Amino acid sequence: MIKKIILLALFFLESLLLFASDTVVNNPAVAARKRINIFVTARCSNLDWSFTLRLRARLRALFDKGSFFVIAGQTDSEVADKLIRLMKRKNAMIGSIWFDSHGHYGKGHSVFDLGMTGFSYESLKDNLQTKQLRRMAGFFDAATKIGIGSCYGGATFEFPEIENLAARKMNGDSLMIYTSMLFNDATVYASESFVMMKPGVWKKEYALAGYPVNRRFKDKIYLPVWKRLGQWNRYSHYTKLFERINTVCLDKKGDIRIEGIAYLNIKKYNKKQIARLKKLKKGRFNASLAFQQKSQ
Amino acid sequence: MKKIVQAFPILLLSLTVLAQQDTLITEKSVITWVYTKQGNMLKGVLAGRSGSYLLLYPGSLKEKKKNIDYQLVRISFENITITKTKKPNGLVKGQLLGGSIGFAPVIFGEGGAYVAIITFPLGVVAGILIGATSKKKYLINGDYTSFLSFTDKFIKP
Repeated sequence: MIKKIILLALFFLESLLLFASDTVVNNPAVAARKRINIFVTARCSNLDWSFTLRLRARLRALFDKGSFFVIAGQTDSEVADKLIRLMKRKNAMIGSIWFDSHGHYGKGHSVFDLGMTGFSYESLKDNLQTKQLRRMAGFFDAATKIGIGSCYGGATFEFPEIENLAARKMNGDSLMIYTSMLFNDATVYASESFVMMKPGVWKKEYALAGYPVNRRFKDKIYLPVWKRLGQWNRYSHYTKLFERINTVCLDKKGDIRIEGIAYLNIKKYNKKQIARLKKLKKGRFNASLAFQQKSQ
Repeated sequence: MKKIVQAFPILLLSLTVLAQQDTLITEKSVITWVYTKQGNMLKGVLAGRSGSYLLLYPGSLKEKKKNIDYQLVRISFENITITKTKKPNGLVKGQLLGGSIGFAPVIFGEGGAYVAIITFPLGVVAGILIGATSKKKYLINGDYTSFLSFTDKFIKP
């Protein structure tokens, strides 16, 4: 009889603890206590170059157990599942989260991917498409920093006119605004230009700024991107301020920081940019990507 | 009667227009690079010809095999300057040619054979690299006959 009572008491205690861990997410006092940083990256089914980055991130996370975590997933639902599981286990809120992904310039608008699922400002308006993002939103608040790690993720310029397609806005600002709104007024950081993942990403260096060396990026259509190397934007729906900021970097714990000097204000980088701008030519970018529209 | 006579040329004209708009599809999937007069490059899979327009599938061969349904890009022949296609079996041809050039020193006796130990694999590798990336160039420059002769090579009759 006594055994049964003890067992019942233990069960009751455990359920109380579980209840506490569920409610802690919405409690700002507790939320302020513990924050962890997350690096979200895609895990493709085929072997691709992103596995090296994943490896680097996991190595970094290994040395900062408890404050920095890496999540890799194929789809947005897989990422959401892993994130929710982690946050419940750690009983914490997100400090900084970095969505590492590719920007698809040919699409003519800013996007970021979660796994293989892409999000643009238009898809963020759709409740059906953002179902998985909204599941994660409980772990975000106004103190959370979100880094959109895709190239041109915060582009405010126009995608140049090509063939018979007219110039159109990249709408990176709208993407940032909708992202912040979706994730409980979190502060969103996104780049106007290329986002690199050079060695030393987690050393507060200019490893996120720079340019790729591939030939296809040296096309005149990329002119607005080359002009804005290392330029970043910040938006918070809490303050409703859209600001142009210096180059963003990550510290060793995966926290999003801002450099003291902008990338292009450094002489050697400025020189390199001028040299590259002179070498831009037409006919290197695959213009058919701008025509990629799925048949109705 | 006059009206019928007047309507006849219109009917004939519309028929020819209809005939021109017939879409002809390619026999094989060929990766094609199309350079336009504006200096832009469009890369895709050659899909066919529709009248005076070249039809290009704006995705990769993989995407085409997966049946990802993209709208075809229509490029007028007047806008095309150059087209390039990947050479068929370029890899094998390059490998054979590079290999045979690398093997050639054997003709010059024992000394040549020793040289061939190095030149043969080198030739094979170089041949593969050159063969796999080589393209065949077609000059069109807005000319309809050159456009037709280019498309006829890949299109079903």
